[in-house]
Amino acid sequence: MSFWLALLIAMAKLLVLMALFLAATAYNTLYERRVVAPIQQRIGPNRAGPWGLLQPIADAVKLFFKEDIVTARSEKFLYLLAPIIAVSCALLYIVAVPFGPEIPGLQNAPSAWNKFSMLDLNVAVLYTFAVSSLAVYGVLLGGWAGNSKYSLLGGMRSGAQMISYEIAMGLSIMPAVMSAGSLSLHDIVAAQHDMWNVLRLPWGPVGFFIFMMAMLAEANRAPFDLVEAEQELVGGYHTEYSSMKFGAFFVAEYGNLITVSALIVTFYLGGWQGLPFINLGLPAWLSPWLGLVWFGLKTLILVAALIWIRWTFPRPRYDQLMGYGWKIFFPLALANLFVAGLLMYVGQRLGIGYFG
Amino acid sequence: MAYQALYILFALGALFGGVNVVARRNPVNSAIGLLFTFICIAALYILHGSPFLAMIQIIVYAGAILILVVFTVMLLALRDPGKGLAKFFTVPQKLFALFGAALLGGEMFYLAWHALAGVAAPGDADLATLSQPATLAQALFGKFLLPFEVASVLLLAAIVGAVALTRRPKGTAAMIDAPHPDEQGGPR
Repeated sequence: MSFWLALLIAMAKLLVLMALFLAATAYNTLYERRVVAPIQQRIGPNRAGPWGLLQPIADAVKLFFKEDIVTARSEKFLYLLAPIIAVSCALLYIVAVPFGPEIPGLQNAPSAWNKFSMLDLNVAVLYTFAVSSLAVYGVLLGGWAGNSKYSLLGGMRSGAQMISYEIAMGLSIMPAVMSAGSLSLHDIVAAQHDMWNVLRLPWGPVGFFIFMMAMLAEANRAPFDLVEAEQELVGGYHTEYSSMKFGAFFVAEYGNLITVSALIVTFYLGGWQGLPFINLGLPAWLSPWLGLVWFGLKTLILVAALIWIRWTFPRPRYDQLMGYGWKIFFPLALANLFVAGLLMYVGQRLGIGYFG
Repeated sequence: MAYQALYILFALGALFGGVNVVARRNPVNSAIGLLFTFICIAALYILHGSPFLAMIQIIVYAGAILILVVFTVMLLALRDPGKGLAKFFTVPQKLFALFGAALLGGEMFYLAWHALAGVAAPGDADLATLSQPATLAQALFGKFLLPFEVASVLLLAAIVGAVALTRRPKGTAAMIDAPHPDEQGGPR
């Protein structure tokens, strides 16, 4: 395959991925409001278009036409840079996610290019860590540059919170990486062919729980949204932002919600694999597209679950949050990793080899 | 050709970030310059066929160490230090720094002048294999296990030292709790 053909495929994939991702992000706001309305015994937005379907567009137009205020004593360059970092990281984050198996018609392309994801990186797990650790800068700088004590406190909290939970997040997915024997997300999904990781790995449910909590904390989602705790910090790190700069943070938050769900699905819920033990007897040419459907379905359900968690659980105090991270999740993830390693080693030695 | 162009682009980017680190008055701006340098160096690693090293570079340096630096700078509220760092140094120190910078700059210029013509895309199958995570892991946990463990014990000693520094003798209150002498006796 020539260089230009590879570039063409990459560009086409990127265009489709970004268009779909941004549309999904916009409609994620509507999804959240429609899911949460029955929880709070409300109706939710239903005025703009049928079932409120035009609401995200109306919101975007409103944000674009609001006055763009730059506070007088802010650090201008960093003030502008922070929303850019936030959105860029949200867009970079989704790139590693595997949406499905090989794309039909591209079987002869190199194995890195022929799948339903931007690129089958052999270090994709580390790539997600790298992007999520860079995302801290958006929040941290946004909080600092606005020159307001509320946003500074929000930024500080986010920095400490995201660093602390990164450790538990990294350790909790290591059993999945170990059993797949690869850092490629496609390989991790492929290893879950017979059974999803949540049931397949030793202590899988524990790892799944820790990973989900750590991802919620990474994405600054409630109940871990100490970063923008309205009752204490006005708006948190984006207190001083208005108009589409605020909108950029908003896009990043809802985009991250999708990516976080997609990653949880990838690592622990089988990715694009269907339910194990169920064979629908569909023709083989349909299976790549069926993978996409499975992946979308699982992600949608998980997003709804995360929204449900957000509107059900109260927010912990800040010291409690750090306590959970360092005293519960971190040791638990370490123990999980140790047990998984031990069982894999014993399994290999005895020749049963179920875990690895 | 594309390789050389990208190499020069990212190398210049790393230099630009490095200059920003020392030239900016605002410490947070300096930290962002350092972040830029780290990212450019990660890009150089990718160009050399080692995405693993690039990701580790970003996770460890940009994601952990620099965040802590930024954190400290923000907590200390080091805004607008006035004349910048220059006032902290005496004239002999400045002269010595100038001499050192000239020497280092000369060396770098010499190396760049003689080596840039020879920069070529690695393309080596060896390099791509060497930088695979599996190869690195085998080296780290096989041949170099002892140095690796010794280094981690060294880090453990540093952690213990840091914890020991923050411990107070029993019975003394935290420094934050003790009121400043000026603040005793209500509002002035």
